[in-house]
Amino acid sequence: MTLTLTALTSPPARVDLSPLVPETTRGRSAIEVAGTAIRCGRDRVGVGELFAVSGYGTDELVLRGELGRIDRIGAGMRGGRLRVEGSCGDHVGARMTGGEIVIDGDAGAFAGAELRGGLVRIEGSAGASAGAGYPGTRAGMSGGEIVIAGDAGQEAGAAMRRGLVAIGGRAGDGAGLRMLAGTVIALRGVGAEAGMGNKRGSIVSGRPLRPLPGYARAVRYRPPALALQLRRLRELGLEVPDAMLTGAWTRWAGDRLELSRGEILIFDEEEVAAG
Amino acid sequence: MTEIRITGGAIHDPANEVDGEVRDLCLRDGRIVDDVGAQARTIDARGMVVMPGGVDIHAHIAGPKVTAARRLLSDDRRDDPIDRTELLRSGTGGLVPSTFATGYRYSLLGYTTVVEAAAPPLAARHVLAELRDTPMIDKAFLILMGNNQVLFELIRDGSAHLRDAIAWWLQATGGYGVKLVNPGGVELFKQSNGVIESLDDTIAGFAVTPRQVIEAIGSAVDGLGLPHPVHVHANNLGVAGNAATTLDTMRTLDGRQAHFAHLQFHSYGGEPGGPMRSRAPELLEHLAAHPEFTVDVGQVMFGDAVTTTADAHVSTVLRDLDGGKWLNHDTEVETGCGIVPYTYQAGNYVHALQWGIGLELFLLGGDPWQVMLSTDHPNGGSFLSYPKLIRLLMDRGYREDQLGRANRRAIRRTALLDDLDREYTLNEIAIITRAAPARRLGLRDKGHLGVGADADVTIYHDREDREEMFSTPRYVIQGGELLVEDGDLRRVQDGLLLSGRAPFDPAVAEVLEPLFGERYTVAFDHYPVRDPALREPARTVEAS
Amino acid sequence: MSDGAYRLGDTEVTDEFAEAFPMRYARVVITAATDAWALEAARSMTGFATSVIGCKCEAAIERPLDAGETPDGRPGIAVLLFAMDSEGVGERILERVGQSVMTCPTSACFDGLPDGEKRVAVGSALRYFGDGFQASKVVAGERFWRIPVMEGEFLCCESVGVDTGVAGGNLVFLGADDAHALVAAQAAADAMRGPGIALPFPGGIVRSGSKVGSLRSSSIPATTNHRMAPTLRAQVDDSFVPDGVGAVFEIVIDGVSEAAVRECMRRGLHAAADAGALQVTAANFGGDLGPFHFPLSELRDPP
Repeated sequence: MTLTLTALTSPPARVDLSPLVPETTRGRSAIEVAGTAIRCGRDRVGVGELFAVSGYGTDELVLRGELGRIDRIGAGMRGGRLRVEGSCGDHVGARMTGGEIVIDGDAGAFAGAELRGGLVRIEGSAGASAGAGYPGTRAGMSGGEIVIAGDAGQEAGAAMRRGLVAIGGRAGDGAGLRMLAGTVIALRGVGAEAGMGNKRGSIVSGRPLRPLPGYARAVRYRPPALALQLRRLRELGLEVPDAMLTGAWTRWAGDRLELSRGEILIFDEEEVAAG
Repeated sequence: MTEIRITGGAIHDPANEVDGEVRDLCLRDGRIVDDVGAQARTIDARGMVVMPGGVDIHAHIAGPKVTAARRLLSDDRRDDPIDRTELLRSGTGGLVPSTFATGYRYSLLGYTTVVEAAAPPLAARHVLAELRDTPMIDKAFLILMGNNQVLFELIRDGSAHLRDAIAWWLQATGGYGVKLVNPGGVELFKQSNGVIESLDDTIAGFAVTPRQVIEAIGSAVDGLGLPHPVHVHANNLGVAGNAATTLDTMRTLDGRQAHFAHLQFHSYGGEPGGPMRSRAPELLEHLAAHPEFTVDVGQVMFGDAVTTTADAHVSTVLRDLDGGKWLNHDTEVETGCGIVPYTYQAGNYVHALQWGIGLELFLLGGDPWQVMLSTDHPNGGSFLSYPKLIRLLMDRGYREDQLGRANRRAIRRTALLDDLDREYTLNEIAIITRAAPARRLGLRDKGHLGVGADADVTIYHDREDREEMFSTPRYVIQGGELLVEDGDLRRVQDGLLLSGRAPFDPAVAEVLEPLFGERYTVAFDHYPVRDPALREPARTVEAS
Repeated sequence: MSDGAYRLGDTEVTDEFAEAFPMRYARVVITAATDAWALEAARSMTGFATSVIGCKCEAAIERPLDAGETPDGRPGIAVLLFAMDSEGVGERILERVGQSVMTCPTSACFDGLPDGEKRVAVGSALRYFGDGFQASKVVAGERFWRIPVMEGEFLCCESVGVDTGVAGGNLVFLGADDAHALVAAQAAADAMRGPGIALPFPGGIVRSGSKVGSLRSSSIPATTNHRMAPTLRAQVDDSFVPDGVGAVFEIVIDGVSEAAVRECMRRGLHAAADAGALQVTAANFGGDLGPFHFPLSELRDPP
């Protein structure tokens, strides 16, 4: 049976679960895993004090129960599969380099922060700074894919250098802040001040918006690369309307405060109707 | 009362001309003594190397610029967290460790005394507070006096009070010695983004020249007889052709005691803006003829570093090279500050040349008592890279292997390919890492293992891999207490604050007060550090 | 008839074999807004690519692709291009994608051989046409270049895979006259096209089969195959053209594997027989030059 951790209680302080990833639990028994020390607030506790552990470690690891105060699930993970049955705390999949994390519910802040590779899939919504760089970081996410079926909070994909943050719902304010490159797609649109300080990244909004003054409208066209990316989103389980695949998008270039080589692509059917 | 007998180790105590002699070393009450009782704890050091504790004559470990570097480097620090334990405080490591971590890591490296080489006197409280939170090591700081507008006025007027003013400043701050950083040049940069082209350039608004500043302060410190002579970061750091400025600065101070910091950064030939060359041999020749001068090398180590300097202009140059995050700050009246994260790359011509020039300074026959080890931490690399640097000096095969990785064109411009077979001995390493710095700092109780000296002792496994050997001392004893065993901290203690002092005429306050009133936003009465807690536990080293 | 010869209906199949060589190849998938534009790009890209001697590569349309089969969901064409080595494949692909695909309205270019043993640059070199305005995107681990052009953007894969294939498989069709011979050859060509196969000559068919060297000059690398030229059968001693044969056509086959070439030849042989070829034979160099031999005697069973 797959190694499964079920939260017993809500922990007294936030927990750093990053020591438990398929790579470290593979081949270990439930008893061994229960004895692993993890950080809870300023203290170290055994996994068994917070979780009921069952099964045997393989390439897959399952977490269950109330996980809202469990942070850094799968952080730094390099391979394997981690499934969160429910919602989880902050920093899930942060800096992971490979493998797959699936969260059935919502994720807290900094989901997939500074991702290097692999896939983080959030069936619910994500908090602020999904796929973002941590404060002080010049280059944040450098690879991999984050798929959020619901909405994302503020500053999704901030400082990212490569990779994809795909949001089925809406992105909060400041999406793609200080992006170096990479792609943030929000099928139901992005909030205010998207792409501030963006150097070469792409921000894709499935709803009309008025970009910051640092952006200039270029053209309405059918971006061939976006078609590829949207098809990829379908593979990843997001519902992309056919109209977005075949239709035209308006390209805004910016941020002129930086290189003016980034872009915001906007799917604005209204403009079609007006034109 | 702690008594320790270290038995059977090979003692390397160059200050007392002991080179590997196997004998016991006895410690009691923080001092080295002739003998101890039978109840003394015995440390079996058979097959090991016993040296005085390391003394770092030039590093940046406390004060506003170090704090600024920590804030700027959040990304570097968070990758190196340090957990709280029963014994230790939590902290962060990286290139600029937090205060407690700085103490822990220097101690783990076998260092027992460290000098913060550039503190703005105005920030003395900050520096003192951080040093107080830096355990395990004795520490001192040098105060920045090369761009102080009040001092400029005294120098311009040829004031007889200059010596008293300097002594007053040390008293007011708890500083140990006097530092000049790009004398006059920082002020010029602050005024007009200008650079010093000649030591005889006039600093606008003050009618003084860098040469006058160097000469006046150097002479005053020399005349005061402070334990450590004037500590000079010369003008035009990092600029091609700056060796001429360095030599001119040395000539200006001829006959007076002076220490030149991170000489590597000041040993370049060529023309400003053009390709850089090495002029290390010429500078070493000058040094050999001037025993009143000493230097530390300021070796750059390939990899990540962060330039943290009072030389604000330099940071603007580096900022333009790097294009990343940086910081520049003005300390009113006194100095500037710049922080730029920087990576030295082996394949880069300039970086490889800097690396090569540093090694030339070490290897081209200089007197180790004159040429001391530093990386200008964290400017040329972290202090944690000292063991690697030691291996470069002691192990020719390793050095040649590393040479092969560096930019060929740059290395060909150095003497490193000329069959340079020098390998430092353990005693020479002991000189450049403890004996010479302690002697130069005027710390008579440090840097040696004679009876009466501070019981600061580091014991190493005698390993063939010198990097490994110097990375993890077997035992570290500071102030007579065993702090480190086999890479683990066993005991935490505060180190001493070392302050320098020279007598002065208190009437100098009447000269300074009106000048302060015109320039500082801080009231004269509030300027001196009066909080005794910030200055303890202390040891004051008097002028001689 | 010799031992290995046999008849398929009225068609004589000789006891000959085709001799083939290893060559490197790449597969490029060209898509466009419509089938027609994809075909234009593919035709242009595979034009003047009949023989590696004269054109430095051999290339042909492999097959059309449905919108459902292409990376961007548009109609497409798979093209195979063969050259002597992977460097040659790279150079030719770069020239041809640059001149024939990038220039073609609505086109995009993808790698059709993602698991190839080597890779050669396409987008990563063509991107410089973007003069610094190009951008790249990584989709599902694969990098694509977006090169701004007057129409909008040309999307091009960063590189394409290169593998080892088999070049020089062939069938030779003899007929009573030019019309009958061509009917047989065309029927064969239609049957032979398919996955893994490129027929590099016009319509897949070559009428000017060649021999190595010249009877008269040492400086000409290839000259007409006089032994198969019906107009010469009365004046050369060594003509292969039998009585009653008025025209000969050849189909040259480059394939992705030995099996692909063999099955392609089998299809062609039987189609030509059905279409009334008098004789089907194959060309070789005596068997010592090419490591792959395809005896017609092994193709007797229908596909």
